[in-house]
Amino acid sequence: MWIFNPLSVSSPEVSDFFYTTQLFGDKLFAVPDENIQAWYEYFDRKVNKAHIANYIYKLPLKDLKAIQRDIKTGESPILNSLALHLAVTKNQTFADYFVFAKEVEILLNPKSDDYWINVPLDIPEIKKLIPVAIKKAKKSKSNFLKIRYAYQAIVLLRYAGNYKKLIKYYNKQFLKLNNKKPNILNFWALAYVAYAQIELGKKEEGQKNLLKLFCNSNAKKRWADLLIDKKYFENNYNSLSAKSKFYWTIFKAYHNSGKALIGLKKTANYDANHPDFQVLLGREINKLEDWLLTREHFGETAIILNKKKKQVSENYNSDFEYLGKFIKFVKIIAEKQNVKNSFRTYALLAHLYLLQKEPKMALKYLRKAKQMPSYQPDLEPQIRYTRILANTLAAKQFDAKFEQKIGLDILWLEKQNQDNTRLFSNLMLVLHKAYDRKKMYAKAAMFLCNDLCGNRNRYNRWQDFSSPHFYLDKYASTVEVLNFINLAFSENKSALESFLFKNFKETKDRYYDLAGTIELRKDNLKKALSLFEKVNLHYWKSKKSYQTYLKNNPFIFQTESPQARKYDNTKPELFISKAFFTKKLIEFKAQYKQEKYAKRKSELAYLLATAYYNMSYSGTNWHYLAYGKASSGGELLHTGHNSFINKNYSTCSKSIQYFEQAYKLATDINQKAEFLFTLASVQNTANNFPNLKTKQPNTFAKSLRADNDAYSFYLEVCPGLKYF
Amino acid sequence: MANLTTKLALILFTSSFLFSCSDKENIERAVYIWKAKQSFEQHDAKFITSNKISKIYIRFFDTSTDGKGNSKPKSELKLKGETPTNVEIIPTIFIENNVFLQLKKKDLNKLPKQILSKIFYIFKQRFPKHKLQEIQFDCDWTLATRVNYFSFLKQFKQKNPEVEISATIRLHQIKYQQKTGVPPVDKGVLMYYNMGDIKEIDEPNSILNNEIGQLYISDKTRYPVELSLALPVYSWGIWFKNSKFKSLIYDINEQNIHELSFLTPIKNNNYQVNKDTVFAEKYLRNGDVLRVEIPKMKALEEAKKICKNLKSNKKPQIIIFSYDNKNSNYFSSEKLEKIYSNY
Repeated sequence: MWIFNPLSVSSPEVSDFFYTTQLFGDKLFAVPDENIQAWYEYFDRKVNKAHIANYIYKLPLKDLKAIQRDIKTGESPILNSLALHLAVTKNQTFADYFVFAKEVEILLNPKSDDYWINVPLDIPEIKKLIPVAIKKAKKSKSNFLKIRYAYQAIVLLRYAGNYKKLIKYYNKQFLKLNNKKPNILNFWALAYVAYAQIELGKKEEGQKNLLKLFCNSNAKKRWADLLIDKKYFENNYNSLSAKSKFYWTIFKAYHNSGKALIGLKKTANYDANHPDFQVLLGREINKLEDWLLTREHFGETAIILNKKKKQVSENYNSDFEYLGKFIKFVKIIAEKQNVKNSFRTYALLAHLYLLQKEPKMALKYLRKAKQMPSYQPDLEPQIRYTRILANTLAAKQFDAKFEQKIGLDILWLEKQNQDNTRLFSNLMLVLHKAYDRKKMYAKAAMFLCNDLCGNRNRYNRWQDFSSPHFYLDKYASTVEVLNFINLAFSENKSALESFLFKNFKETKDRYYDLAGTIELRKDNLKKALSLFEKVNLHYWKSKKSYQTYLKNNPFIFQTESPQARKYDNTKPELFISKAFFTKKLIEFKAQYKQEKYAKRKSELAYLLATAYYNMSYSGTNWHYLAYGKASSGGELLHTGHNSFINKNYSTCSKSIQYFEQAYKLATDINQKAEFLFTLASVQNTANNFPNLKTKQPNTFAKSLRADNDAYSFYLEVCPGLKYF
Repeated sequence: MANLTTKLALILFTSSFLFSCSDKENIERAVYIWKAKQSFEQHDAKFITSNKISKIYIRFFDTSTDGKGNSKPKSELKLKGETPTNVEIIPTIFIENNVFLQLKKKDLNKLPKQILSKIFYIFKQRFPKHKLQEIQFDCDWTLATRVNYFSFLKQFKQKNPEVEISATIRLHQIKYQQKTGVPPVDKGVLMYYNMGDIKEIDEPNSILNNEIGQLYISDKTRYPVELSLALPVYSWGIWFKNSKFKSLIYDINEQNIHELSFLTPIKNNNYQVNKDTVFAEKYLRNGDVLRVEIPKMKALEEAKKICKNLKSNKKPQIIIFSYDNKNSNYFSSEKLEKIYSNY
């Protein structure tokens, strides 16, 4: 779990080294191509970058040759803005270079359409091109092209296996070509030099160059990381130069997945302005977020608060203490760093104070970061994220004023297309939890809506709720559900509310159904009915699950007692409507209350008992009270949280009460036996409710066994009775 | 009479001595090399020679699909250094089960030739001084892929009748051989490892669990193809946080487990992390649990006993899985002698 975007302090090439993963298909994490960037800068940003990439990577050799051939005409045979630029400027030398580079590329990557065919390198051809590349590097008048031809020579030398010449050429020729401007090709070439040195057994030089690459070239970081021999540096640390020691501290800090403050202090002593140092600071924040926020938002809070597991509390306390030390360190760094970097460090500091639950300090340092003269707008999204969370922490009430404040920042982030990112999803989760903790469930559901309704695959981040409906079902009261209805279906939503509900496509009916169901669970039948009556009639029939699971008459017991049929012959399909069922239940209850004749009262009690039984977990119509979830086999299953529904749902308590009344009031001996048998069965079934902590003793079975006549009668009908 | 008795006793004694010696000596010793990228250095050659290992099964490449219905090789072997010439090199090819599900018939018919040409290419490049005598296939085939896989094996053999073809066999394929079928190969290798559920916190040992092994193999179990036995020599730690599986940790073995002061034994092979520690680049927290799975000699001996009825009568072979530069230092000749004997 993280809210600090590591890209705020680093570039995407190092995304492999971020502590947290970025598996969300975030566009932000697409690694930019530094080669294309270099060409783009060379052409003064006047040529479209995508076209440059297309020219270099996609155009086949024949097209490049066509462009080369037609340069003098001032027109390009290919519709590409780089090709057009070269044609318009009649830039033959660059067109020639691109052809040469493509020929080298093809030679070094011989491919077949058939995966199974190994096409060997044409070493003689490669060797032939080496002097050509060297000559072109020497003769070229453009320094930009000189370095590129020289680089091609180095690549060719590597594939020809001429490592000694490669190293010599690099040291004597290539390095001389470097002008004062930093050039990505320096490190690309150095990578080949390091490789050659290792192949020649020059381990020390090779390893040092790999370490240098790791710390200076984002493009080569991952490659160098795979080849660096850690044992070599550990064993030879004392003999390293100061620079190599510095690089080694950076390398070690990258590989330290624990508390890296000691290593960071060492790195800062060498150079607190090194770009990798900024990355490492950001990475440390992500670790802290993982330790503190993941715990807070994904379930360990109860463990911490209740001290159920000593080590979890100890870890939390030690992480919090570490956070304090880290803040002190970062504060010193921010003051020591050059202006170029310090504004980012202030943003980091703000976020750290947020983690420390000091929102005022967080806001203070956000303001400071923004006021720095070297402030860059690419940091603005992170500033907004941190500010939203700081304001949330600082707010005493989550009222309209508060919502307006955070709304401005949330909507700004939306405009920057942040809302499809994992970072934004995390933000929604944090805000949802913040409202949830205040028991403002309707509002909490809004944030859930925004994230979940936008992408159903995210349900595993939301306790497996596939809709805000399930969330409200678990936590909300009727009032909160009605609040949600007012929010979600209001014509006068605020800008923030409109945004949060933009992907919400459900109907009011579903939520009136929910509100009514909450009341039905509490046995507030009249209130339940008034809510069910707000649901459109076609809604009940339109739900597949209701068609499947509410097709039975709930007033008829599984044994299809004639007593039940006598008083209720309603068509089963009518019971698909919870409104219809509740109305019937109210009617029977009223009749039962008024009835003075024992036999009839007993029969009515039996009807009510059956209805309450069928509404329980064990009954045929449990879907009146619980919302199931489809399994992979398509069958509707009771969801795990359904045990909160009511006592009757799990233990059939109300059902048993009415069955007992039916039994006591019955005058016919056979009927009495039947009711006693039913009681024993229901109690047995109720005791099978999953995860039931206390099973009720089956006194009815005991009574049944004591009544010899009844028992013998039923044993004949139901041999399984002996197992009660 | 006394002379005759003495002679008889001498004959009996000599033959039992010879029998027991040859019983030891006849077990063919082999290793798997499974890593795609490895360097074979002097100490590796010494390990092979001094432990009388006569065969090395090397994974040459895997066979997968490209998502468009075409098969493709991947993780091709990159082995540096020279292997001793007095050891036989056996290319081992892992084929993903879905290859036999996704490929169309015409592409399946091309597959034996494609794989064969790639094997030849690599063999010639990397092992020019060796002779190709056997090729092994590793595929966890299912009922759905049985027909295609077996057809592939048949076709492959037809293209190379003089080269022995072997295949890996898993425990469930032994027990349910009526359903899963028996691959048409010259011989097989019983993979007696990776038996349990790694992620299950109560699992005693997911690498080697003879209780599970015995559910698949009884005294009456037989298999119609000659089988070698592959035994595990690797070890790992399984990291649990709040009883939930977090990750595997590979740098744990019999050598270093007792030196790791941040671990306190709790029960069986479970250890509790007693202080926050970065180990193998993982940040283990106070309270985390590590289940350390190291195949013990006793369990390996037991495994051999369980599988003895499946042993080849012609040339019993034991292959250890797997050899790499890291674990070569942890296998003493004494331990290897025990592993490769009494079978």
